[in-house]
Amino acid sequence: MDEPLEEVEVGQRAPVIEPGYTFTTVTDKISSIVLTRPTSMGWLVGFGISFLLTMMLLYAIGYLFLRGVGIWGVNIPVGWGFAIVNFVWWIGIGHAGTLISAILLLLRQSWRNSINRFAEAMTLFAVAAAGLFPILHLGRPWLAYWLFPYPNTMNYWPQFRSPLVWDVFAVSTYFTISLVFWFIGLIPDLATLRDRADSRAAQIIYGILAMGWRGSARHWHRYETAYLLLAGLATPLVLSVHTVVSFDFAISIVPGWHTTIFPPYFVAGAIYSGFAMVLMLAIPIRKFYGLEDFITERHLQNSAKVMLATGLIVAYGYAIEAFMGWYSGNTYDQFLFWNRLHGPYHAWYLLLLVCNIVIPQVLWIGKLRSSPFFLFLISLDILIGMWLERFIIVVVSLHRDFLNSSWGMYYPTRWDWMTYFGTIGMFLAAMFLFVRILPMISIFEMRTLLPQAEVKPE
Amino acid sequence: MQPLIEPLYSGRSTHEFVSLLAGQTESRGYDLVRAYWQKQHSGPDFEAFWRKSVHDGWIEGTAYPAKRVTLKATNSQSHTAPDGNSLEINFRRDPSVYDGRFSNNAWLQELPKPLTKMTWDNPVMIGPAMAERLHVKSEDIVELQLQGRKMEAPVWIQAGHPDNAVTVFLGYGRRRAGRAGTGAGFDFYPLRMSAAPWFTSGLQIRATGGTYKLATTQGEQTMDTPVGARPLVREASLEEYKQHPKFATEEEPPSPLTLFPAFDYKKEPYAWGMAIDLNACVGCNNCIVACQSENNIPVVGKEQVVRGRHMHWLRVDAYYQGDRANPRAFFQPVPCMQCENAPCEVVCPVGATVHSTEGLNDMVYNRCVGTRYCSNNCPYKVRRFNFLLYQDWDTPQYKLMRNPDVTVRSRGVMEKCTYCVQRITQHRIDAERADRKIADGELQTACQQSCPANAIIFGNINDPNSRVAKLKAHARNYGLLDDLNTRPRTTYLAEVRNPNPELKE
Repeated sequence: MDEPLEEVEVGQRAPVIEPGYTFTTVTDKISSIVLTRPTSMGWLVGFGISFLLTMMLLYAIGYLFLRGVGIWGVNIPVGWGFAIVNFVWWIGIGHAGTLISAILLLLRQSWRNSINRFAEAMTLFAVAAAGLFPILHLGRPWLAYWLFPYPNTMNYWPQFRSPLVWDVFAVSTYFTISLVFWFIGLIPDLATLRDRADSRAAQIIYGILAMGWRGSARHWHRYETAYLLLAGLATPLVLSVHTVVSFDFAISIVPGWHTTIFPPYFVAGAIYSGFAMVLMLAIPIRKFYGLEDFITERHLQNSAKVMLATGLIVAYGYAIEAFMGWYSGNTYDQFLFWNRLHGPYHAWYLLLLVCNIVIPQVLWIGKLRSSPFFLFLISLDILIGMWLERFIIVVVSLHRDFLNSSWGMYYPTRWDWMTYFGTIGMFLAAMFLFVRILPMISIFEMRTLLPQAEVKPE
Repeated sequence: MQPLIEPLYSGRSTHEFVSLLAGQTESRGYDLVRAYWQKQHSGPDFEAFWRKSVHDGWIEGTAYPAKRVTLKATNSQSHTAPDGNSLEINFRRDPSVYDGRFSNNAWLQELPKPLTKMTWDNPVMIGPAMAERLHVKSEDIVELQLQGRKMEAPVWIQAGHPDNAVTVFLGYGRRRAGRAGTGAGFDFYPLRMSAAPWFTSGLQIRATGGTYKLATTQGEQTMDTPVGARPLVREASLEEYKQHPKFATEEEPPSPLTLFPAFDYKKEPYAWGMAIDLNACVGCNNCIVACQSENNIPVVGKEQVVRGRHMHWLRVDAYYQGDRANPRAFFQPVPCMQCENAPCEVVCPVGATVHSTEGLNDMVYNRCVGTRYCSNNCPYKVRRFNFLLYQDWDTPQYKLMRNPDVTVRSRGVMEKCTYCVQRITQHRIDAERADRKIADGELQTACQQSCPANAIIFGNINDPNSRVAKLKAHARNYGLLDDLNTRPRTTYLAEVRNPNPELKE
C-alpha cells in the first residue's frame, strides 16, 4: 500500500542505501572488509607512508623534549604559534564526528548510520592529535599534570580563572565521552565479528571486546538506552568544547582575540572543517572499498549542505569581526584589521578568504555537490582555509599588538612543519588501522535502514 | 694580588708560572709575592706592612708623582663639504663596545644601541633620503669605496641621519676577540686613515644586491600606525604645558568596572611604585646592563635575538616621530608595569604569576610550566621566556658572576622585571630587625641606582612624602596604555620640550 509513496521519495532524493540488499548481504559486505578481504597493496603503501610520518613526529617530539620549544618559531611577542594553531584545527575537525553521531541521532537523521562509525573514529584520532599540542607547547612539558586539580602536599590547585584550565576539562571530557560512545556503539558489531571470525585469535580478541554481547532483547533494550543517554551527554559537548577553546582567545585582552563573536563562530568553523574531513575520508574509502551503495550520493549531498551552511556562518563571523573593528572606534582593533589586509601576512588573509568563503560557494550548484572528485577538492580547500583562519587568529593578532616597539614576526621552523605533518601522519595511520581491523560502517545500524527492517503495523 | 679565593681551575698564576720556568717548583703565588716584598721592605714591622698592603690592595708610597700637562694646539682637520657624487664618512666609536676593547663582553654585544636598537653588529648608517636614492632597504649590503679601499657591509636606515653622509662604527669585525666578539660585525678600520681619523669625504657607495640579517630588539621605531598615532610617549611644548599642565592625562583611565571589591593597598605598610621621568631619560642604556647584572639575565646570541627572544627585563624603546629626515626622538624605558589589574595573572593556568600585598606582580619560577599565555596577554610585552636553556649552568666562573640572591632560571620558564624584589626583601628584613620602616631613598632598584640622569624613581607610594609619591602626584604623570585599566604601578612623567626657537626650522 505504501509502495508508491516510497517510490516518490526515492525518486526525488538519492537513497541512503542502494536497493537490493538483505540483512545478510549488508553484514557480509561490511564484515568481509575486516575478516576475509586480503590486505591490499594500496592499504600497505598508505599505512606505510603515514607510519613514516608518525615516526617523523616522534623524532620531532624527541628533539623538542631535548632542546625546548625554542626549536620552533615562537618568540616574544608571538608566544603561541603552530602548536596552538594545530590544536584548534584538530579539535575543530573532531566536532563533525560528534555532531553526526550524537545530534543527528537525537534528531533521528537515519542517513547518519552509514557514516557515524568512521566519523566518530575520526573524532577520536583528531582529538588525540589535538591533545598532543597543548602538552608539547609547554616550556616544561613534564609538568603538564599541574594543570589538573590533583591532591598534593602543598594544597595547591590550578588557577581556575585561566581558560587553559577550562580547556583541560573540556578536552579531556570530550575525549572520554567520544571514546565511550564509540566503543559502546561498536559492541554489537564486535559480537558479529566474533561470531564470523575464522581465526582463533580474532575470535578471542573480538570476543573480549564484545563484552559478552549475545543480542538478546534485554541486551538491545539496555544498549539503546545507554546509547541514547550517551548521545544526550555528547550533544552539549559539540557546542561547549569549541566554545571553551575559543575562550582561550576571547578571555584575553589581545586585539583580535578579545571578541564575543568567538564561541558561535568557532563552533561553526569546527563543524565546517569537520565535515570537510569526513568527506575527505569518506570519498576515498567508498571508492576503494566499493561502498558506494552504503555511502551514497545522499550522504555527499547532505555533508556538502552542512558545509555550505556552516561556511556561511563563518563568513558572517569574519564580516562581524571586520565591522566591529571599524565600529568599536578602538585604534588597536582598527589597526588589527588594517594589518590583516595590508600587513606582512596579508597574503595569508586573502588566501583564507578565498579558501573559506569564495571557493565553497560553488556548493550551491547541486551537480557539484554530488561529484565526489569536486567535493574532495573543496573539502581539501576548506581544511586549508580553516587552518589559515587559526593561523590568522593566533599569529597575526599577536605579532602586532599594543606597543609598536614590541612588534615582531613569526616564521615557522622545519620542526613546526614536521610536528604538524607528523600529526597528520599519526591521524591517517590510526584511520588506516581502524578501517582494517574494525567495521568502519555500523553493521547493525545499516540493517535498520533496510526496508525489511521497518516494523509494519499488523 | 688579592689572595681571596681558591682557584676555580687548577691553573697557575703568572707568578707561579715564571717561578716554574726559573726552576722553583711547588711554590704558591702568595708565598712568592710575600717573599719578594719581604726583601723589598726595610721597615721594622713587616707583618703589619704586609697585612695592610694586602688589605688595601696597594702599597703605600708607591704612587707615581703627578705630571704637569699643558694643552698644545694641533692641526685640526679642515672640513670640505661633500659634493654631489662623493659622500662624507664618519667614524664613530661604537656606543656599546667602544673601539673594540669591550667586544668580547657579551652583555655589551647584546646591549641594544641607543638609537638603532641593534645588537651584535655595526651596520652602515645612512639617512632615509639617501636610501631612497640608492634603492636600498635596511639589511641590504652596500659597497663602500674610499680612496681605492673597498669594503662591503649592510646598511641601516636611521631616521634623522644627515643626508649625503654615512656613519660607521668602529670596534667590530674583530678576528680574535674571544667567544662573544670574534666575527661579530664589520671592521671599518681599513677605511680609516690617520690623516682623517674621524671623518672624511670622497666616499662612493653602491648597492651590491646582497642582504645580511641584522638583529634589532625593537620591532617598529615609530608610534604611528596607518590608523593613527598611539599615545605611548606623551609630550608637549612648554607653552602647551603652561596652558594645560595635565596634557598627558586628557583621557581619564576608566574607573574600576568590576563587581569584585579591589584589594585595599592603602592599608599595607608598603605599596611599591616607580616613576620614570621621560624628560630626564637620555637613552643611555645604563639601566639595561645594571638590570642584567643584578638579575642574572642571560645573553642569548645574535641568532636568538633575530628570532625575537632577547631576555632584557628592562628595555629602552626609541621612537622617531614626524619627518623621517628630521624627526623628534623619544626614549622610553619599559620595565614591568607591575599592574594592579595584571592581565598576565588571570590567564596563568597554574598560578605561577601572582600578586603580592605590596602590589608586586611576582613570578614563581618553580611553578611556571611555560604556557606563555601571560606574555601573550601582557600589553607591554615585558615578559621574557627561556625558549631554550639560555643559562650556562656548568662553567664555574659564571657561578661567581651571578647574584646569589636571584634565582638562575632554567629552560621553559617565564621571567620578567621584579622591581628587584630581592633588594626589597633584604631591606624589609633589615628594617624589621631595627623595628622601623624602610626609609625613602634607602631602597633603590638596580636600574634606578645606575641611572645617571635620575630618571627612574622607585619607592613606597603609600608614603605621601616619598619622592615617587610626589612625582606620581605631578601633573605630567601618566600610565602607559592606562585606558586598558591595567592600573600600572610604573608610570611616566610626560616630556615637556622647550627648544630654542632659533634652532627650530
